Amino acid sequence: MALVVSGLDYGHPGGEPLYRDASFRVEAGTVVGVTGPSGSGKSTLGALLAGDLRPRAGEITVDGAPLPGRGFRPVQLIHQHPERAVNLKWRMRSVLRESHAVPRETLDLLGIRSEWLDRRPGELSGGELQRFCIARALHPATRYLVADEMTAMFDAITQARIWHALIGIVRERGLGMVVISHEPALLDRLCDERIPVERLRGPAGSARRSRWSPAARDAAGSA
Amino acid sequence: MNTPILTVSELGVGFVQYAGGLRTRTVPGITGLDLEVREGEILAVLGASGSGKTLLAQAILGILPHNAHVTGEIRYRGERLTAARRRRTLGREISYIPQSVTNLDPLMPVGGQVRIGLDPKTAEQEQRRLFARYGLADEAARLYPFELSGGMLRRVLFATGVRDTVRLVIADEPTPGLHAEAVAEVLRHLRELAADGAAVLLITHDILSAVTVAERVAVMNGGRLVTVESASAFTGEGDGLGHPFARELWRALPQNRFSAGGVEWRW
Repeated sequence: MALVVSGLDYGHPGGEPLYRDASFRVEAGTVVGVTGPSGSGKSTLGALLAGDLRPRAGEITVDGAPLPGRGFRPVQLIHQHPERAVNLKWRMRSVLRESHAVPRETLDLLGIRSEWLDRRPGELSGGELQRFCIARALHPATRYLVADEMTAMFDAITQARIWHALIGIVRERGLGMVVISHEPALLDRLCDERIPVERLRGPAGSARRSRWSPAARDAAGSA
Repeated sequence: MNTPILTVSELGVGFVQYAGGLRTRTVPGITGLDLEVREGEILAVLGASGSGKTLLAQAILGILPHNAHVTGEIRYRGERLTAARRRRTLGREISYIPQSVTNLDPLMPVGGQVRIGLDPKTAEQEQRRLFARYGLADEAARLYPFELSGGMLRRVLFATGVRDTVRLVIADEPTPGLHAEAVAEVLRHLRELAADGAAVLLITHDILSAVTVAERVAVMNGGRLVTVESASAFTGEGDGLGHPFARELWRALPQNRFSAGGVEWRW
């Protein structure tokens, strides 16, 4: 039982390849960290794992089956900015129901108060809203979670509260998890294993060079 | 002792909301806040999202939403900061470094954005000097924001905010989402501004940045300034911190205990 990536190739349309022949696996019940500087393609990897983007080549399988092209996605992505992940005109009750009937117990574990259910996203703080996004991602059919800088926008106490609750649920349900973050101390706490995003670039020499990076510009200037 | 540049006393910010029909209610944003920033000093304001720290910046700059109700007093160099005084000082003596690089105009070359507000006769020369100061190549002035990396855009933001005449700098969350080297660079630039004599108000939720760069750290929670701690007290278990909320914040860091409101990490 694992989320398996094999021979993954991807680059943005018209851009250089970001990953070449990248392979790794995330066992169910483990937490794997993905590190790298800003702009190195961490979030793109998250979107590929969740099925929001399609690889150019290679395969992603979930517990042996390929990522489904339609229907419920067993790999759920939690974004950095929760206000961009929900319908801002809905009340939180509907935002939750869009995914599934979230059990009261899960709401309690995540510290979601019942009076918040009648509010709209704009009437909650970012940390409060992020708890709803996590609750939504914890569908009974969810097998893996990808947390993309999930708590980067929050203060230390909010960050710790959210992780205490989520890691508890993840361990209990035996879910696998990918944590994308540029904060080494956080990954030290959470992860069983770490993957630097550079390792996914493929054979040496084929590494991506952004058209806009200073290095690429210098190279173009001297050519 | 250095002279105070910014003095905030008994500041209150509330929002008037309609609670059905014509009934209104006032939702408090900031209550009874006092603080002072002196010449050459960096004061960090730490707090959770929703603690009112961005409202503080907006109140000083006079850019609160229309339904905001402000009480108390904000003084700049000893005199009340009125609308007329803001018009004279904002951008010249009081500089704002916003949170996001999306505050730059995407359709204007960055050199032009740095020249805004400079004396037209010397603007070109001054902009080159600012570019040199922040390690930006002269040629970069002709580029548009999308052609520069995130780190370079940060430096452009600093160049737009910094003038020789600046006495007070307000930086709102200048570091989240940046990797360690980029954060160090932002902090170095703030330190340089203070060394040149400016008073710097650094608003952030990044405790480690705040305590490396500031002498004093003001901690906000729920719209109140709960304590002002010495940056050097943020060390070890945080036993030197006077206020329990400051200790809780410090211990919640993953490099410390990663505890949440007194609950220890157990995974």
